[in-house]
Amino acid sequence: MTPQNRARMREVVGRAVRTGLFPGGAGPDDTGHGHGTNEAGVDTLPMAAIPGTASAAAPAKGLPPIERFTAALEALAGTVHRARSLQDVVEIVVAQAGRLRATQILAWSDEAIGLPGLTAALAARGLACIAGDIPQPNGPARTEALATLAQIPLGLTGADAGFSETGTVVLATGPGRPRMASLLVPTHIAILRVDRLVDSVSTLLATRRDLVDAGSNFVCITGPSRTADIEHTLSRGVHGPGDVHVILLDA
Amino acid sequence: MHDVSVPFYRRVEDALQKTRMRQAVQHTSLRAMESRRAAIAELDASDAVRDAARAIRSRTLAALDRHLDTFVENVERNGGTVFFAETGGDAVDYVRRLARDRGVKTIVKGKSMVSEEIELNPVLEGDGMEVVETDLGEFIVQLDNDRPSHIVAPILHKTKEDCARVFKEKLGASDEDVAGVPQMTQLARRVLRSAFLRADMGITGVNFGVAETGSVCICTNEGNGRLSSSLPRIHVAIMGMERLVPTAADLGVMLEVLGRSGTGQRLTVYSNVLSGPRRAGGDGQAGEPDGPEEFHVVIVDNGRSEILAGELAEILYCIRCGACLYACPVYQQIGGHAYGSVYSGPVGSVLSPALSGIHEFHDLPHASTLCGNCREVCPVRIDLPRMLLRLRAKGVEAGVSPVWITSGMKVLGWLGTRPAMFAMAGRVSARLAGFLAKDGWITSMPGHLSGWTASRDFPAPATESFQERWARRHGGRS
Amino acid sequence: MRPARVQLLVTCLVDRFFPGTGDSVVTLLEKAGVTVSVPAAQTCCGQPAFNAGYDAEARALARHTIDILSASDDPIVVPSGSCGDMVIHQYVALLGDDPEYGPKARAIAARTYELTVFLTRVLGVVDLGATASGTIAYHACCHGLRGLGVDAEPKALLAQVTGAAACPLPEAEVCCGFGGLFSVKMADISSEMLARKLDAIEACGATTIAVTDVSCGMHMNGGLRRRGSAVRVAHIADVLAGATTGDAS
Repeated sequence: MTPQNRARMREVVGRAVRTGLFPGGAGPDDTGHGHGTNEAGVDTLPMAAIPGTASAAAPAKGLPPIERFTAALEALAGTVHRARSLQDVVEIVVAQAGRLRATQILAWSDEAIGLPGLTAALAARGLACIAGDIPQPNGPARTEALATLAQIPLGLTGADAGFSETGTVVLATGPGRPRMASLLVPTHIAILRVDRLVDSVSTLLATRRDLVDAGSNFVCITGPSRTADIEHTLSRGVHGPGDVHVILLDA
Repeated sequence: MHDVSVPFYRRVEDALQKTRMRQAVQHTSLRAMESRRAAIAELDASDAVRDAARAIRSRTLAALDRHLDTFVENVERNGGTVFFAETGGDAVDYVRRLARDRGVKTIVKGKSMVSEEIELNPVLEGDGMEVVETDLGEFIVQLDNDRPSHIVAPILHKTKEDCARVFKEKLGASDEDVAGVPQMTQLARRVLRSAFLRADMGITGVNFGVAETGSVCICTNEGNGRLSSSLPRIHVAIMGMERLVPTAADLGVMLEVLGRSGTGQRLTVYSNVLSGPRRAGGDGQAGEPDGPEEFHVVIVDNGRSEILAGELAEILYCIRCGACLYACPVYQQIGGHAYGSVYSGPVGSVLSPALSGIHEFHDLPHASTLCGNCREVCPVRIDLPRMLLRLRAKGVEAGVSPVWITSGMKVLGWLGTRPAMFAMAGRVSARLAGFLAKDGWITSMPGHLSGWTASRDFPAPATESFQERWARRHGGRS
Repeated sequence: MRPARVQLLVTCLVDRFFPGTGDSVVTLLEKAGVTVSVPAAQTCCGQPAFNAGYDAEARALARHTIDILSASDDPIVVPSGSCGDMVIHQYVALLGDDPEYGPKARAIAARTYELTVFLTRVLGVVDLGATASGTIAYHACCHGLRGLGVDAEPKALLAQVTGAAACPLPEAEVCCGFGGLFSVKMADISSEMLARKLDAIEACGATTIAVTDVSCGMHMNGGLRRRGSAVRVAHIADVLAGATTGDAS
């Protein structure tokens, strides 16, 4: 931002907030007659004051996190698998690839997924894991890379966290973690360690600032891509994956 | 904003004749309200969560200058670029200059109300660029040269037959391609996928900027927001300057109520947090394999700072969930187009005149019975009826109120402070009404009041009022 | 402390159009054991002006109303959710910063009650020995419901009525489309909203619809009469006092 642009922004907005009316800043008792800046000088409510959405969750309220996660995701037409070992994971992935007649998988690296030997084990079963690097400058390298990736029917990623309330998996970008592995492909499999389950998005964002700073992007994925734009009729797989699987890994 | 040449009343007349559209709007609205109710009820302390969300919006705006400054600092720290656009024109100029400089030919767009407000697309298209709306509803709107009729569900007003016609006419689709909703969705996916893959720039809106991390959060169900912001080499995020929260924790609270209020979903399918362009490697570490090279945030003022400075600042709390539209019994009758603005429904009835001036949109604050259902469902408890009343008062001050109403109110004010005159006027009206009435009812009222009797009878006033009778029986107070 | 006397703010519509409803209100309050006074010189609470954006006129009417109600310390009862909301909430919004009328507006607001709230919550009376015939349903007028939170109170009173059956009204909380001047300014939209309400009323099987506001009642009855329907909307005071029709003549 140029210094002039920044100064202008500060001036215009700073002048405005001095006279504005901002009711509701103190919570339920606020009469709405506060003017200008926040008198308490506090920018955000302390987490303790934000009531626990933590224990909410009506699909299957009262069930343990894994069962709640499963119910929430299945309600959205996602599929949940259970695994206790690398071998279990391999079998599940091979089965899905077989169903899709896929020989290539757009995948995160072993290191990113946290399962050393995964790529090798899949290769041994005839499945090639593609790294998903996309050169940015326009040119033949980029065009070719996109053309290759656009054909791959299956994506495989790890997950940095999951929300048991909503059946969500959280994926951060980074080295060995292509965004496209959970986006460009029609079928996405995410491997989530069960000890990474937390209650909800508000719990995560209050406690895992590191995830936000980890890379240029993190995404919370809750089930298959969908739209109900046409006559409020549900359609899956509009742009993102229409088929979402989560392997809950308890190992 | 658009359509101000057509008086509001004619648009309403048009809308009321569109039976199918009205049925679609009402049906979808009722379903959305039911979904919202169920989803909000799941939160253990939903009232407290909404109070917390409201407090976050209030405190953020009360110190918006500071938070925007923090936001800029952190976006730049992440390798992004920020531009503060005082006017819509400034924002448009920034984007078109950027696109020209970078040799952009194809642009994919995620849904952005602000980009429609500043009328970005026509300018870019005028510059010879291909601009493709990628949200399915917005894509159909674009193909059909139509306008969206709801903040979250842009083609609420179109049937699937309408959509099939659009695809056949504008994409040359075959009958099989448009046989049903799944087929049409797959057709759109194919067409739009090719746009995503060849696009040079992706433009999205912003649901929430996060100041402490320099991030923008984009929530979609389709995944077009993710593709638009991840595939092309340049990502431009256009952000209304009020759409900010201070911390990641605050974002978490807002996300708890956004989906639940607007679509009845606990979370939209993708809640995507972007903090700058793809990170390059260094110190022996590889860089990120994909993502844009450039990340720009255009902060749009376009009248918001004026609103921020006054008694209508509360309208800027809005998180664009769309719930108030679904909840409004007037919107349910007339649909979104009748409002003649990018922003329709209850929020639009405040925001449109607030942004563009009371003269341009003076009818909108009156298109309401002040029933309060909008305030009931708002995730941040915006007191919309209060602001509608303020805007009605501003309209009176600005001289846009009809003469007959002003005269009538002057008479009411004069008589109402002179009780004997008031009572006499009451008796006189009762006698006059007696001439018009039959069996105690008037079936045809004159002049401006004829609107009543178009569909209702009007009761004749009593010849002796309650107070007159009471005084007669009790001799004053008893 | 149970008050022995109340002031009745009769409301301009009840005063001039439905004086019989005023009688019903007095009957009920006396039955509940309070003495009713009617401050003289009541005109209009100012809501029509306020809702239309005429703040100056609204303030003039508000000051006048505050003056006549301030002459006594007795609590004030209003048989209307919308006028009640006006006095209880909007007088302070209009006059809160006025050095003379701000404190008066707050004082008046603090002792003003909508009728059903006064009966059930202040007097603790739910059973007024009301009898009726036919089938009664309840429509929740918007200002009372969302402005004042009035809902359980009228329902509790209606639940004690003997002799009549009760039935739910579908979409009971959806606005009837009156909205004051909206009913003539935006008459087309108002009529469509009215039609939706009357369809629900005619389909629900009730013979009487009870309401807290005669203004909404006037709009709905006008439509029902135009349709040739036998169903009538009645103010809850008339239902509870056993007055079969509010009189308009």
